[in-house]
Amino acid sequence: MYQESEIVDLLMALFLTPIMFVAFRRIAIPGKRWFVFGYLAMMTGFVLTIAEGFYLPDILNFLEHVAYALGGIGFAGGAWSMLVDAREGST
Amino acid sequence: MNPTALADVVSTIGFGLALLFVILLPVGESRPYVRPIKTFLVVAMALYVFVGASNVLEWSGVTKALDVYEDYAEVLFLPLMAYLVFSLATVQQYEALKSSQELVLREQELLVSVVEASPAGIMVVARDGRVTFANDIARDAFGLRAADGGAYYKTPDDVLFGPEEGSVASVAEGLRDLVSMDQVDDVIRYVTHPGGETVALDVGIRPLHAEGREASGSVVAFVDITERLRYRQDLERAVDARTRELIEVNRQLEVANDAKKEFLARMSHELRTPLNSILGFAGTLLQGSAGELAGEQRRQLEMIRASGATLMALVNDVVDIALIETGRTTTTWTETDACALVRSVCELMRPVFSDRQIDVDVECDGEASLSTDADKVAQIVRNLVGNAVKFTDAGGWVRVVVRGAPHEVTITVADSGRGIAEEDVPKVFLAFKQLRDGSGAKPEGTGLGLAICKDLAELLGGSVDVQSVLGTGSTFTLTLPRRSA
Repeated sequence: MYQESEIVDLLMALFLTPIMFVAFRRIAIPGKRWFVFGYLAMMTGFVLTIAEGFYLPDILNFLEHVAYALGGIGFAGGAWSMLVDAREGST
Repeated sequence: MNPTALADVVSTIGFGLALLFVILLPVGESRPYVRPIKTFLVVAMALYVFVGASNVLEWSGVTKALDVYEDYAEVLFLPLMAYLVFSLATVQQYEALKSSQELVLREQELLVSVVEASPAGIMVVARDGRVTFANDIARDAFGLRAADGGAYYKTPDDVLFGPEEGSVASVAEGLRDLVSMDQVDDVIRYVTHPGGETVALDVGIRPLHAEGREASGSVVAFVDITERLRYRQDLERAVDARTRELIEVNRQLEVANDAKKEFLARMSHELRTPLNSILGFAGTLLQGSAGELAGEQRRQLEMIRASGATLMALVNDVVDIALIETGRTTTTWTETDACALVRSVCELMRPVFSDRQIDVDVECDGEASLSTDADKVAQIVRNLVGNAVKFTDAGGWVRVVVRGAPHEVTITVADSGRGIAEEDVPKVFLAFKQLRDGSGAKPEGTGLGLAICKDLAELLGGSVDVQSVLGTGSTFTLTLPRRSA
């Protein structure tokens, strides 16, 4: 079964994501594609965590955790790009 | 290891590294707003480090106690990310605006510096005549002062400003008049100050056009040209005075020249009468009418007659040129065959050619009839041929060619004489100008022959030209129209 907090997460994701993408398009930051990848992976995880309550609980639960792992990798890549860019800019 | 647990480990490490990198991000002093943004990112990453670590601890069997807090962490993640994105967008817009503003300020400072440093007066005038900007020179020129608000300048009515010197219009009226014009260059306006001093301004105007709207006013630039006008007036006065002097001198010269010509004409005429007597009586004595002459007496009488003849030729030349120059020469126009005329002139001069041992040849090329004064043409030909013979050594040649063209007849007199130096060619037709020959000796004669030729040719509507090479010979060409104009 799903939890109420997971529904809240999904609703917030559905509401905020389009607005965030419009704003995000105007932003120029290093590692922007890594951050987009990480965010989309996290959104996928939010969907999967609800879906696992209805279908294929074991597989979808595994995929949810894989999505969070990919999200972690995406954010790590983005943060690393920012750090490298900041250091190159300061030297 | 359970694959799900492995994914959680990867997730924890990934967000952990992201957290570490974000913490290490430098925050510049010039961008303090980056610090709260960085804090939100740190918190967002820390939340999923916590979620991942909680899952790992749960799978490894250490504790499940953290599981109840995972939901709170996950709920916070999205608002944090949204706040982060909007903050970043706002910051970047703010920075773009700030750099635009700095650029505008720099441009404005540059413009103000240029305007203030300009030697010209520059001001911005609204359509109602108010001055909304003026540099130092403009303020001084118009006596402008700041209004109460400090942003505008009043236009004092005691300064007169108008298109004419002493125009009775206030500066405000004058400026309103100018602003109503479109683009203007080099309009002269006068400013009269309360003290009575008047200055002249060279004014240029450009309308202030806002994009797609009516001009809100004009940029008026001016240069004080009072001194320049004063100098120009002084210069014009000096030029006028000098021109009047020159006209007067010229008039006096013309009077003197006319008097000279008149004197020459009269004197030459008076000289001919006694000269004719001298020549006549010398001839009579030589004929033996007054008794037989001894050898020495005859020789000296012949010298008197030869000198008298030379003097008579000189007087005749002077009379001719004086008559031509005073416009008292008369012409008689008849149909004349130039070829026959040239042949007869040369025939009459044949004894001279024989004495000088010079071969003279006359050629006619084409029909050469023309309407002209035959006596004057004969005089010109006689002078040109005589001149050629005089400057050609014994054994040389003179060739006279008469050529008929559709509208003119040319008579060319070429010789194998000494020629004329290139620098002397322009002087050959000047009256009383005798050029020295190759030996430096001055030739016989008055120096009037070629001048008379030129004047007579022009009198007949024609011209005389010369081409010459020093040491090779000269060619004089008389050109006469078939019909006088």
